[in-house]
Amino acid sequence: MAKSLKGKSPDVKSLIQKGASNIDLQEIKGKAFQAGDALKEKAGDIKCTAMDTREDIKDKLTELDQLLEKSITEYNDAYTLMNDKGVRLFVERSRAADSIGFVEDLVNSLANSPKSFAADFIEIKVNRNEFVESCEFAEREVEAARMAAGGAGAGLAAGASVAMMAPSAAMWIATTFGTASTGAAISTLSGAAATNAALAWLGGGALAAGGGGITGGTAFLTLAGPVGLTIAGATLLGSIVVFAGKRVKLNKQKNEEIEDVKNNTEAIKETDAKINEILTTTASVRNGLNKEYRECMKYYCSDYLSLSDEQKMSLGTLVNNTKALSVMFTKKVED
Amino acid sequence: MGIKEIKEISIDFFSKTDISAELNKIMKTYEQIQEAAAAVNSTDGKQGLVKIRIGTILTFGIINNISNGKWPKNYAKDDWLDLLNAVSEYAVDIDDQDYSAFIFKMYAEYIDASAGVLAGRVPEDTLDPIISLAEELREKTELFQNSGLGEVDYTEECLWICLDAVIKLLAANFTKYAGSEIGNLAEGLSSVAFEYGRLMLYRKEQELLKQYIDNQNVLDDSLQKKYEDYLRELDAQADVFRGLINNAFDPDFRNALQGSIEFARAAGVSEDEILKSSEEVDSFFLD
Repeated sequence: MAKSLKGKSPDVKSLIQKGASNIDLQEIKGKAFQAGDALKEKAGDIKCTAMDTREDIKDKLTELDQLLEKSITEYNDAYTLMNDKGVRLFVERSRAADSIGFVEDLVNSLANSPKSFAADFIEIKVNRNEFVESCEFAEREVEAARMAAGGAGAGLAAGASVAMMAPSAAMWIATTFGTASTGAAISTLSGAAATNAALAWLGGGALAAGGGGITGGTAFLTLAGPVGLTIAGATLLGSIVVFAGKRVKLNKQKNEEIEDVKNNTEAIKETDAKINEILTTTASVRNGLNKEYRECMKYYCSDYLSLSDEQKMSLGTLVNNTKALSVMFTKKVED
Repeated sequence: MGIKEIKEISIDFFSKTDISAELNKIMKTYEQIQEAAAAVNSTDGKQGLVKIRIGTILTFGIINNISNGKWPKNYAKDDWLDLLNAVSEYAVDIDDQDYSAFIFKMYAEYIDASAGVLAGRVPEDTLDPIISLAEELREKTELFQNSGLGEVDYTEECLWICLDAVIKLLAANFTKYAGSEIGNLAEGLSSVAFEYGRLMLYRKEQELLKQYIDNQNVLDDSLQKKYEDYLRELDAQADVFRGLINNAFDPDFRNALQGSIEFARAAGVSEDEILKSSEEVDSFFLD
């Protein structure tokens, strides 16, 4: 196969030469330049769209922040309302405990043996949750930005070290792919000429770098060529991607936090409604019981056997209702 | 023959040449740098940032000394002290915000230095936009330091400016070796790729945010429905209970006793504790 190709190579060569002579390099170059301009224009259009998108992102972020703030305010309001109702229930139950005590006195003044109605209760307590506010998310975003800037700086330093400390790698690339200012490939040069051309191609290198302080640009000459630029570009791209990733993560957390706050607010509102229901029924039963008690007070210290059936049944009703109220004390919000 | 096969044959051929060994060495070093940079960049917390800063300033200091012809093996005590002072001044004592500003000032210097290397070798109109980007970095920094720009926006905008500049510099290098026409094409291609990449990143973020906001509206509706359902159920239960309470306090004593039995039962009083008849009432008072 190789033999047959070799045999035909003069024909191929002449064909290539013939073909090449027909190519108008100037025309191709002109078209390449025009294409470059068209692409730059297109890039400008895409940039405009990207900037519009960024503005929309900013608006949406503001909206998300406002949603978080609003949800936390609503949670705090709902908690305050529920807490107030919890306090009112405590007061109501304290009054009801007094009513039970009075009935107990009355019953014991009539019964042969002492009776007791348990009237212990505990205050309903719901822990108030703390949520991450948007200002804390903003702080986390600033931290992420600082890490990105720090990473970009570290990449710049690391890139500069590699371009300087590993000259063999950089030089290899320069000598393989580089072109001297004369237009000749560096690989065709030798000795000092090759080294100088390679250093020039790399953008200076350690040997060419001059003085300057820590903020002096000359220290970056080692990183100024294609190798250094590629390293710097990759580092910057890495920083942007990591930073964008952190922003996405923070926004996700913010979204989850809003959901959490809203779910908690709904739970608090349910608790509030339940407390309200217990409060209303406790007050209703206490009022009814007080009325019954006042009506039965006339039997205080009477001889039970001397009471009529109606009076005895009224006392029986009073006992049942008192026991019911006592049991209602044990009623928890989640029941 | 498909692209896959061509690729495999090319890799096979390439791996047998001397170039491969050198390239592998470079790629390995490069990968290590990338891994290290990604690791420091992904680190969370202030402690991590301080370490990054110390490492960065120390490296800058050493590079600066090497630029002046002084290698670490030749350092005198004073050189080390100078390095420590630089670390202390730029990495430890400096404020977090100022450090970010310092880094982007360094990038501005770096972009200028890189453009300086190309000066006279590429057309001026290729370098002008690059130098403008370095200037824009400085302007942003000034704006940031005068509280005219937030830190997050400042960092994000500067990172993009730096990347834009680096891509333009790479294209300019291409111009240096391939001529202005091909260089212009390369710059156009890289600009489109850069802007498209940025747009895609923004679009992704925009889409996620839109999704979050839409989901919040769906959640609001769902929670409102859940709350209304709960209120309806609670009200239905309370209605039954209110009826039992009314019966328990009925003005008629017979109805009241029967009502109190049902109420006590519903409230949860144990069955043997409830007084259900006149005999049980008697027994309660007389026993």
